[in-house]
Amino acid sequence: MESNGGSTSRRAAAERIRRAIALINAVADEAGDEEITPTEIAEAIRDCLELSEVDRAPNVRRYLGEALDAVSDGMPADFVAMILYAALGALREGV
Amino acid sequence: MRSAEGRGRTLDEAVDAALIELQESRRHVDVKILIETPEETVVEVTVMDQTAPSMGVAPAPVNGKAELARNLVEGLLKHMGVRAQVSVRPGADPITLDISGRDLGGLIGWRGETLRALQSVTNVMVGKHLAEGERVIVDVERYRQRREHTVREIAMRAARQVKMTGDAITLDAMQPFERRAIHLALEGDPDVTSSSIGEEPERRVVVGPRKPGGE
Repeated sequence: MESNGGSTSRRAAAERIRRAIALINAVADEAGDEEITPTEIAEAIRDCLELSEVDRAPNVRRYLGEALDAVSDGMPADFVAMILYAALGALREGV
Repeated sequence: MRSAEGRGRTLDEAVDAALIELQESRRHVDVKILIETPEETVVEVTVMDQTAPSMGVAPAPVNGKAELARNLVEGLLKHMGVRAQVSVRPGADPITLDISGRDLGGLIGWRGETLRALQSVTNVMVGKHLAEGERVIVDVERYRQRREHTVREIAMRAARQVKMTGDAITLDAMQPFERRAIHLALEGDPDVTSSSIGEEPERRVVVGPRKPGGE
């Protein structure tokens, strides 16, 4: 059975992934009121990787790593977002 | 295009009055607030164009990219076990796909998260057929369109309040497409200005008085 701590840290990890997705979506949807650099997006993804929770569910770290690589390679925002959604899904399913 | 004027004490009452006259549901209309005072609200309700893909009526001319995107999303939904119709919104720029059917709340998700994910996947799938910067918008049961209308109404109300009080108003956190709708709604107003503060996903629009001589 999962402890409350596990549930809390999973939520924290999900929130960090959601923040990274929100940054990506802001780039894709062009609200026109902010300028987000690839560095900021990469930092947001690295923030996710810092949490040990991402190792408790299969594939979450792998997806986050792929998303980071995609940002470095200059892949389109939707492509990066899709990988992050996969990470979010894996986190929900895996624990 | 059919439209009707509605009056009531509140916005809801005014819209309902117009909907009764038009015999339409809220889902299919665009609402424009004409007058809003503490005593009375007057709105103009316009029935939006309806697409009818299930009736075999194809919008002409058919956009090849849009049709490709429509087929891909239709296939994706089939694999997901979702029974829904996908149609291309006529005349929409950028290309907009409307998904309609029964019980599609799950396809929208919490604060539109699933819908947004579906849009990302769609754009990745059709990306190589699109020009640089070209995108496909995916909407489920006109959720996105209704949200845009709602936030535009919120923006107009905030603008009126700012003009009356002279104080800036900070709105709730919104998604980028919602903030964009607000900025566009207020950009032509000579008395108020809009900007955003905070970080995603808690970024909020601030509506404030436009300073004389300022932007």
